[in-house]
Amino acid sequence: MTPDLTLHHKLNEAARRIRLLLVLQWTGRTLLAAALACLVWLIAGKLGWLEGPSELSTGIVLGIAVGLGIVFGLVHKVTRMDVARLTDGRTDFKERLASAVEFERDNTADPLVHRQLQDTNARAVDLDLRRAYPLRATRQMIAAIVVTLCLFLAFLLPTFTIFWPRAKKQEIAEVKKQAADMQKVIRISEKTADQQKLGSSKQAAKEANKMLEAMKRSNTTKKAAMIQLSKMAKQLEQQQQKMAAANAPGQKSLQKASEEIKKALDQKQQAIEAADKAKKDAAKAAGKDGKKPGDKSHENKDGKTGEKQNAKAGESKQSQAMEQAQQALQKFAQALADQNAAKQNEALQQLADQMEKGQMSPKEMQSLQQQLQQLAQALKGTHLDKTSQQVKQMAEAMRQLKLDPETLKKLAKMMRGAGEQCKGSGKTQLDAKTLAEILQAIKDGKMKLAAGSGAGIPIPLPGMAQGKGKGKGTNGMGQPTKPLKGEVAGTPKATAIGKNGGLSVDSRVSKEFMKYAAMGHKDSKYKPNTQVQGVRNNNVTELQMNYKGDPDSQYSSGTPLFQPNGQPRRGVESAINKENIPAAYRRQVKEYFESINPNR
Amino acid sequence: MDNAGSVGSVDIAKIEREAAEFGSKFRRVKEEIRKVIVGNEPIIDGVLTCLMASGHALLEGVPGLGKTLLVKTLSQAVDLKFSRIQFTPDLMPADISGTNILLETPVGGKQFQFQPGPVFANVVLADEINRATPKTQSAMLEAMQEHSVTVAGVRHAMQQPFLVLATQNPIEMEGTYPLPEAQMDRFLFKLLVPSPTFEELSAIVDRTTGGAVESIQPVIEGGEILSMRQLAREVPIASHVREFAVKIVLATHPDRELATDHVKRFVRFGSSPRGAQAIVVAAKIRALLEGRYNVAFEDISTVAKPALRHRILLNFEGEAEGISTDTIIDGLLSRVQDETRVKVTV
Repeated sequence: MTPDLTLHHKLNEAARRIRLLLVLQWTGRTLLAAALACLVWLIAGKLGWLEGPSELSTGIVLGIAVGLGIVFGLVHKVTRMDVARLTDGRTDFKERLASAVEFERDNTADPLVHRQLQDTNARAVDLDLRRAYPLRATRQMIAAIVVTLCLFLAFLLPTFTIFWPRAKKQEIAEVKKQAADMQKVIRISEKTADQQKLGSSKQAAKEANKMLEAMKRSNTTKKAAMIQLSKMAKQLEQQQQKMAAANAPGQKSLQKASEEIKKALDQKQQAIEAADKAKKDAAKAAGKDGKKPGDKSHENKDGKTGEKQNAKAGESKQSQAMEQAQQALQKFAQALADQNAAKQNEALQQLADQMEKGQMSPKEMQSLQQQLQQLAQALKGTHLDKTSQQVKQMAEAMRQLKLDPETLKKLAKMMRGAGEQCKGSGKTQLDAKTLAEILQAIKDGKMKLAAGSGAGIPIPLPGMAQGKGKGKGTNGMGQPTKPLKGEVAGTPKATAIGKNGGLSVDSRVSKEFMKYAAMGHKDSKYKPNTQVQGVRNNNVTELQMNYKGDPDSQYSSGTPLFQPNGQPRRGVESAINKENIPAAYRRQVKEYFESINPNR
Repeated sequence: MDNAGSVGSVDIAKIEREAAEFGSKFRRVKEEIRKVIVGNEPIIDGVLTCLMASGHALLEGVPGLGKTLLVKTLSQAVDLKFSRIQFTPDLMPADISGTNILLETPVGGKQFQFQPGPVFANVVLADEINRATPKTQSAMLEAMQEHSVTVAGVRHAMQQPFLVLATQNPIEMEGTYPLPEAQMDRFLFKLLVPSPTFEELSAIVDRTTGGAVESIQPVIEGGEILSMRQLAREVPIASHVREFAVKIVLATHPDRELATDHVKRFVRFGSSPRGAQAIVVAAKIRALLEGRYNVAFEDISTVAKPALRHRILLNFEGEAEGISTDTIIDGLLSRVQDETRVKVTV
């Protein structure tokens, strides 16, 4: 490097280092100011004077401060003369550089000036700018780092469990426990879904398990857990709706079909019993008249009365095959109510076996044919519509064709086919059922979390007027009126039954539960399964449901009035069994709970 | 950078040589003086600086510190004509400048002939200058400023180089005539001669009470001094350094922005522009002595005190408080340094 250029090179290098130091200086200043401001803001937030900053907002503020510092450092005016003078001061160059910068600019012909420039260039070779401008953190930068570290710790330390308040630890422990409990239930459904290869349920169970596993592992607050559970529940409900839409809309429920079949079977049974009774009466009457059995003297000339009587006698007496067939039909009806596709198939297989045996009399076959018609009619409109059609065809065939063994075989085969049909469509039912179980588990878990530990939803008692409770400080059930710590007000323990059998004013049962209670009352305008709008009580334990109007048979909501979780249900059952309920009201209480039983 | 058309490498080499010679000659004279004078290095430097700067020096110190000896030794070392004027109250101006005397011509006529006074020397020692009357002091003033005297309307120029070294006693001020400000202003430097230290006094005693007598050899002559003076004046000064010197002088005035609280409180009058001239010239000489070709802040700061201490007039409060002008100069030096510091701080 030529001597002439040394000065320029050195000044340029010095300028760069000065610029860098300026950036560090300004960044330290702005960062310190911002960090202090954030710290004050945080303290104000902790003291409740205003809303404290979040990690994100603090990060943004600090980031902006750093950016501003860099900008200020870069735009700070630094002239060449400033660089020269600063360097002179730091290197004991005795104004050589600054003088050289000025003399160079003046471009004079003075030999002394030129000598000065030469001299400066020569000395500049040994100029150690690193020593002159060491890159080190300024005091402001160090202070800024310290304050930023304090901020960081202020956000980080509360995440450590050791610093959590007891209440928070308990809350998180509760969430984890609840997640574990829900997982236990969902695993059962998952197992079923795996075994039965139920696609939707399996996927739902998997997702639910994943969410619950994450909840168990992380420190999720109750609020966050409830939000996650609500989202999951909503997702599952949407899935449910899709599945319901995929099946034939506006279908009749299997419950109803089961009821119809049972009704038909009951009627048949009653007819048999009536016939049986008539037979007995006739036998009795015959005994009184001194007539012996088999004596035909009582018969009229055309024997019609006797035939009628015999006919009745014959009706009353079923063959074993017919009995088995009836049992199979009962079993099928029950399997429909239970939505158990395997048992439905089993029942129909059993029926097919009896038909194939050919041990039923023509009358019995006729009766069976009628029952099958009724069966087909009952199944019509459900998702077993195809089975209904098959059974209807079978019944038609039974009516028209001669029931020889060959035909019976064919009919039995058709029956078996119908059974398989049930089994197939049962998979869809099972999937929906399993999905509903998973959804129920999620909802139960959410309600348990909302209710808090050990609490449950209060169960209002129907037909109970409000009144003072028995005993001082106790409700009618002998329980203290004030709820225990951690317990939701209005839990079964706190529910009061007054002297006159009504609910105690002091029982703290919400007004909405009184409405629910009124629903079971015979004079209530609300029928069972009506959805009404509820409001949350002070302890946030009631679900809010929307009113859809009085349901009639066409719009059976099928939604329980409310869904008591396991604990209050058990509490209720236990309460029912106790002697605390007056005997006169036990039946009413029992009827009420049966009316709201979703599995009725 | 190199204007090849106007400045050749020969010129630069010559300058370099001359600068080197300046320093070496200065040091040689100083060494020669130190053969006789013990210690007082700043005083010797100051006196020599005054010589190189075409200025005069006022030496203030108690009797017996070697002020007269210093001047005599200086005149020997630089091979210049030396004269001493002992100022007394009865000294007349003509006793300094000279007078016309009536002389007989060889042809028997009479004519006036100018007889030069003791001031017509290269190095003039004006001993105890504050003992003479103001009238006599003013005669000295003209010689110091104009480097000439006017007698009977005829101007008589001094020989060059011309250096007046005046002395005054800070004690025994009774019956003396303090130098007027106008005359004080003509001195480039006011040098305070301190008492010797133990080691210095020991050396003095050794040298002066023994048998050996040091002889002083002339090191440089008048012509060389004149070239050295010329070279010193040519040393370039950057604008920011010049501004520093100017601000220092302006800060001595109590009505200026840069004046410190001390200046505002204790100073009646500040330095004249001669103070700034003195500072700059002396700083140039100092820069050259250090082998630099530019004036530095350090040079200015070093020469500020001797150049300004006699130019700042204290008010009654300042004198009553016993404030020294040196203290005031220290204060305003730091103030001006802060003012002229680079605005960028890293």
